[in-house]
Amino acid sequence: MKRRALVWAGLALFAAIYAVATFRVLLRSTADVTAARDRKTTVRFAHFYLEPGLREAYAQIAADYMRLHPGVEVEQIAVPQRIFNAWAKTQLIGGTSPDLVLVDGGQFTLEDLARHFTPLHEWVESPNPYNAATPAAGLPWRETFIDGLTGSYDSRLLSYYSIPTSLFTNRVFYNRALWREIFGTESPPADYEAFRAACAAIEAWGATHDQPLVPLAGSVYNTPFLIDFLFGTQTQRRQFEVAWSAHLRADLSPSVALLQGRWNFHDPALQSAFRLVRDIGQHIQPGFLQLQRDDANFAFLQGRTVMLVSGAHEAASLRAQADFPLGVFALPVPGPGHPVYGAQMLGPVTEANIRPAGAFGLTRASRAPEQAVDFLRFLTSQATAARFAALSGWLTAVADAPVPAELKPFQPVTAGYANGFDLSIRRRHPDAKRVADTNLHLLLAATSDAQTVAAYTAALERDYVPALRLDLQSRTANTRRNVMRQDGNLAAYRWLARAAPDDAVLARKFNEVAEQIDGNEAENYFILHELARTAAGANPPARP
Amino acid sequence: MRACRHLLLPALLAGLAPASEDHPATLRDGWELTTLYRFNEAEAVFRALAAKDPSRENRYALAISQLNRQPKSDRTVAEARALLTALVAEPAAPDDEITQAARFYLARILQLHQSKPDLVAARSAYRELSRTPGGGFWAEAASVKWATLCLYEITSWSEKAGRLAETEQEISRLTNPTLQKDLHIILADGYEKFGVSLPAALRHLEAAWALGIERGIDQGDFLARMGELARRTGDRAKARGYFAEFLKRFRRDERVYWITLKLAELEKEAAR
Repeated sequence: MKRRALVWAGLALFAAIYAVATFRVLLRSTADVTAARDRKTTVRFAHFYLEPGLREAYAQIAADYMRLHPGVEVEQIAVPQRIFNAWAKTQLIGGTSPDLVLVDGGQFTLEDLARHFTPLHEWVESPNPYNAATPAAGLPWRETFIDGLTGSYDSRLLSYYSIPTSLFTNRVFYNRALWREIFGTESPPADYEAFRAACAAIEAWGATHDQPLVPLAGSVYNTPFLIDFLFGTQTQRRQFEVAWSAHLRADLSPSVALLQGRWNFHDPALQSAFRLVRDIGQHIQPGFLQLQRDDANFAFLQGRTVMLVSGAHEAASLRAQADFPLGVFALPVPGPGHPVYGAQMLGPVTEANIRPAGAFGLTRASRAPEQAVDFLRFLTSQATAARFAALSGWLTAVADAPVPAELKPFQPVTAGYANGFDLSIRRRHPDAKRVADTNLHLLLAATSDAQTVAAYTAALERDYVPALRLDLQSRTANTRRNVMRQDGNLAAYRWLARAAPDDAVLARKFNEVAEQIDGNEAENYFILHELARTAAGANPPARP
Repeated sequence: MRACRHLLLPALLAGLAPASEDHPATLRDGWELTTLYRFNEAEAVFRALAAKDPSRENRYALAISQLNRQPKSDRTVAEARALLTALVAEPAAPDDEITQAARFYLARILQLHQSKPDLVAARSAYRELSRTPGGGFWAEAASVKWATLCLYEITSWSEKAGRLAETEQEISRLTNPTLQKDLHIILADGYEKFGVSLPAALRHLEAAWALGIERGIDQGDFLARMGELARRTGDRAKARGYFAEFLKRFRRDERVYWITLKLAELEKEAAR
C-alpha cells in the first residue's frame, strides 16, 4: 500500500515537472516571437580559452564590433576545456548551439563537422571588407592568413570549415630574477652551447647555495616541445635522404624507410639525436613523463625551476601568475656549424609549418550566419587582429598584421628548413612513440653517455619496429575506411555533376574526390606492399 | 497504474519525434546527404524513393548508400551487392551509365568494401569492365583501379619496371582528363617510390600537371617535386622554371627558404 502510494507520488511529481517545463517552453517561444521583432541580431561564440586576458580581449573586440554595428549584439561563451567537448556536442545536437564554436581542439569528428557546421568556401574566396585600404584589400579572405587557410580545409568534405584566429609557437620562458641572481645578467643564452652551459651552471649554483634548483620544468605535455624538437634537428638531413617523394616536404616516409632498412638506430643521425636528447634531458625535472602540465607550471612559478618550455599561448597566463619578471627566448638549436651536432643538420629550423589555432566554425543552427561570418571577418581583419594580439598577448593567425613588441620573440621563424622526425614520426605513430617513451629512462640514466645510448639503442632495436608495424597497419585500416566513405562521395558527385553540367564547383569537387581516392589508395597499397615485403626480410635495391 | 504508463510514454515519445517534412525528399537530396557523409539519412531517402518507384536510378542510389550505412556489416554489403548485381543482370538493362557504374561498384566491393578483400577477383573485374566496348567514365575508372592493383601487387622490386611498363599502356585507352591525370600520378609515384626511373617520374608528373591538379595544397607539392626531379636529373633550366613558379605561387609555404636557396644555386650555375 505504502509502495503504491510512493509510485503514484513519483508519477505525479514527474507529470507536474513535465507540465511546468512544457508551459515554460511555450511561454518562452511566445515571448521570443514577440520580442524578436524589436530585438537586435545576436551573434554568440563559444571557446574554451580561460587564460587570463583572453576573455577580456574577446569582450573588447566584441564591444568594438557592436559600436560599429549598433543593431548587433555579440555574446561570448567561455566553457572550461574539460567539459567543452560534451557541452558543445550537447548544444549542437540539441540545435541550441552558438553561431560560432571553437573547432580546433580535435573534439569534432568528420560526421560532426558535416552535420553541424556550415562550409565556408564561398565566403573565404571573396575579400574581407574590413581590410579595405590595407595591402590585403583585394585579396580573397583565405589569402590573408599565414597558412592561406590550408589548415582549415577539410579534404574529405571538400571545403573550409573554420577560421583561425591565433598561432602558437613554442619558446623557453625563464625566471629573470633567478637568472640575474645566478648569472649576474638577465641576457638569455645566445646559442645551444651557452644554453647547455647555463643548465650546468644553474645546477652547480643550486648545490652551492643549498637551494636544489632544476634548470628546466618538465611534464608529459611540455617536454616533447623541447626534446622532440631537438631530436628532429638531428634527423633533418636524413629524412629527405630516405623520403619516398622529392616534394621537399617533411612527411611520413621515414616510417616505411625504417622497415626498408634505409635507416636504423645505429645510424649516425639517430645516435646523434639520442646524445642530444640525453644532453638536455638530464637537466629536466626527474620523472617528467609522469607529471602534468600544471605540475611543470607550478614548479616554474614557485621558483623551483629556472626555465619552462611551453607555447606562446601560456605567456599571458604565466605573466599574470609569476611574482618575478618573465623572460623568453627561442628553443636552443645547435647550428649546422656545431662541431658535434652540426653534421646531421641542413640548417636552421623553420616554423612556417605551424598550423594556426583558435579556429571558429559556423554552426548550421546559427540564426544569423551572415552576421556571424561578418564578425569573424572583423575579428580577423589586419587592424582588429593586431588589436586582439595586443590585448590578449596571443599571436595572430592573420598574415602581415602588426605585432606588438612584447610578442616579437614569439613570432614564427620562417627562414629555415623543415625539422626532421622524432620517434613519433610526425605524431602519427602512437605505439612506436610509447616504446620510445617507455625506454627513455635508459637514455637519461646516471651512467656514461656511451652506456646509456647503447642501452636505449638496444631497447629500440628490440621493441620499436613491431610497434611501428602496428601503427602502420592501423593507419592503412583507417585510410581504407576513409576511402570506403569517399567511394559514396564519388558516386554522389558524379550524379550531381551530370545533373548540372555547367556547375564548375561540382565539377571541381568531383575531380578532387577522384584525385583523392586514387592518391590515398595508391599510397595505402604502397605501405601494405612494404609491410608485407619487409616482413619477409628483403630490402629494396639502391635507388637511382 | 499500467494505464498511466501507457498514457505517459506516447506523450514523451511525441516530444522526441522529429518534425515532419514539408516536401518529399528527392534523389538530389539523397545524393547531397551522401556528399556530407550522412549515409544513413541518404539511405532512408533512397529507400523511400525506391519503394515508391523502383527505377534503376533509385535502386542504384540505394545500393551506393547501402555500402556505407552504419553499422556497416557483411549483411549490408551483401544487400548492396544484390542490388547492383540485379541492375547489371536485368534482361532489359541497357549498357548505360548505371550498368557501368553498378559493375564498377561490384568490383569495388571485392576490392574494398567486403570485410575480406579479394584483390585478384577485383583486378579481373576491373580488367573486364575496362575492356567494355564504348568505354565510358566507369570503364575508364576501372582501368585506373586495375593499374593500381597491378602495380602494387606484392612482388619483388625487380618486377616493378615491367609492371610500370604494363600499366603505362592503359593511358592510351583513357579519354577522361581526370582519370588520365590520376593514372599519370600513380605512375609517377610508382617510378619514384620503387626507384625505377626519375626521368619517367618527372615525365608523368608533367603530364598530370598539364591536365590540371585540383587541390591547391597538391599544386605546391607538384611544383616542388617537378623542380627537384628536374634538378636531380640534370635539367637545370626546367628546375629553375618550376622553382620560380613555386616561389611566385606559394610564398607562405614552409619550403620557401630551401627552394629560394636551390633556385639561387641553379642561377649561379647557369651564370657560370
